[in-house]
Amino acid sequence: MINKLSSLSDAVNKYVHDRSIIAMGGFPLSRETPIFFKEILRQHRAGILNVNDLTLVGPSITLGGSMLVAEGLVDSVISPFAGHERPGLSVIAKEALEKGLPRKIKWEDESNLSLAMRLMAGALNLPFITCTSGIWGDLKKQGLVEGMGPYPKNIVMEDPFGSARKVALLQAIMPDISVLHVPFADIHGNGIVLGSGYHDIWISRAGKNTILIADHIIDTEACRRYPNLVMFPGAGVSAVVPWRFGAWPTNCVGLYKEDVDHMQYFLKNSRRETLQEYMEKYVYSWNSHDEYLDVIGKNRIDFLEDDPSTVLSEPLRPWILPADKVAALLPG
Amino acid sequence: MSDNGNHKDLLKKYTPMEFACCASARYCADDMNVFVGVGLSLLPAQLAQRLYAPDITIIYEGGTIGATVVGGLPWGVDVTCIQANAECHTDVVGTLGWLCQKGKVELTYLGAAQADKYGNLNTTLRGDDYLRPAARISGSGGAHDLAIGSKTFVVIMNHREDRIVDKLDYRTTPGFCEGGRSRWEEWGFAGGGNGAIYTDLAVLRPNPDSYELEISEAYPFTSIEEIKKKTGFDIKVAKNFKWTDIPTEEEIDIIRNKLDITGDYTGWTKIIKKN
Repeated sequence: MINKLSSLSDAVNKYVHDRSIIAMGGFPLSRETPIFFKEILRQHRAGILNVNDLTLVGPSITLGGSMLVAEGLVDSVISPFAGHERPGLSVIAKEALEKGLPRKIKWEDESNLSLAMRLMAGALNLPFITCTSGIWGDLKKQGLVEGMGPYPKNIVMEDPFGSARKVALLQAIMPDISVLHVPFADIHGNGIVLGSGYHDIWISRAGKNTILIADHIIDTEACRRYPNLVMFPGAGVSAVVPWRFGAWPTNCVGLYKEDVDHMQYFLKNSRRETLQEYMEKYVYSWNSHDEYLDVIGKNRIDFLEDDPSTVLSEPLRPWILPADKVAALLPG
Repeated sequence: MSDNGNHKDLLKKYTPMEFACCASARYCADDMNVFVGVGLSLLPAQLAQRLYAPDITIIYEGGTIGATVVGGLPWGVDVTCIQANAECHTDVVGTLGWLCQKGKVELTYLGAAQADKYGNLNTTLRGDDYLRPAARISGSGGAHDLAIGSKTFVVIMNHREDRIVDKLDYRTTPGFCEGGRSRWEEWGFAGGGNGAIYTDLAVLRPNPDSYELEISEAYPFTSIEEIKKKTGFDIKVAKNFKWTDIPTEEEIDIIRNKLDITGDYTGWTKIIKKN
């Protein structure tokens, strides 16, 4: 099998295009891919990636998605949730929806299950799928995303086999890019997840191109030893980006906890008066992975890595490839 | 307790949300599969697990099953202190799709910004324009799915005239839909619907015929008049109305010293000086 390792900048530059539909895995406090969105912003500012009108699909709009909205690069969102759970709602998504600032965005509401089912349809290459969720209430009304469904978006039909039960026909979502964070992946794109699966199986399978951001690159022998832990088989993955702490400030179960203090700090600085300063430091100031880690800070990293879930990753740690070996395997 | 309530002095010892948490925790019984949402709804299941029903299995929508939280109250359902000691990890299709829709979830705790008289919930937005809401809130998360399939669900929320209402700003989550038997006959939902709403004043339960919410219990620091005044429709008092029991010392001890240590959820540190 081929080596699918990619630098962060190459992965973003190759796969993200104008009007791309980008689906992100994880959950509001866990295994999201803010680093991928930061890199879109960095390349956009540098003028090497000319994109606009992106559609974001995922469990929530938190740090990364919010910053894309704040920079006016987002046209539409398909999501069941608009925040970070208890740390708070997305200040930026609220401002875009309530005041149209910096631009109006469209938002298709889903439930967690209906989102997973729409992605499942996309993964199985079906045009739609049925679900009980979405037959009642206002979730079925807002089909706003162009090319992604008529209005009203969920069509309610009665079971043609005669049970008299009603189901909603949910339209498939087929993202251009599915991007997911994993603690471990090998160079072939086999991605191991510890902890809950969220919507990830279906997000990873629905995308035309699936990109993994991995804290650590492991020897393929580890996948052969624990093949049932491989949630994302390399056969369906386009690229693997090694990027330790790429999920920060969300957690990566098995490696580090969620950085709630930073999420609150981000929310506190999400107003336009302070956001630019925040982004200068956390998005634009660094020029290498080492510098990125310096921005988080060694003390902070030690604190986040002191976590009860690290016990889950113990069997896999001996298989982690050293940084110099990973660097040698990266193309370019 | 007298018939008129209004024992305001109780508010010097307990907060309204402590009443709500303790009362709703008593809903748990052993051998239940209990589904827990984000926010204040995280608290009662954990109180019950420590006090009344140690053998409940707590399920979190992200996929975590059978976990006991390490440390204090978590910041969300997907934090590492929950995921570190689960018995099993599955995903949202496994929890919200399979376990919930197949009737294997006995009880679900939810939060809400608004509830209407048939126990339907809004967690999506305030205002009358979807395209330009007066205030955007969180969205459904898994609430819509859980309310469809869970054998029963209970809600913990604030009680105000614009929160307990005749008509929702946005219909996120089905309770008893259009009232009467419509939840089952019109929509065919498997679960039993909204078992109770624990507000910061009272416990509202559905009338067994009309499925309209009634004042089933009230916390003794308030009064029926106050509850009616703070309800957005003409709410009736249930036939078997009672005043809610005062939280026990044991319940309060666990809330303040084990679960809500900072008082962020129940607000107890605003009335009691922390030791």
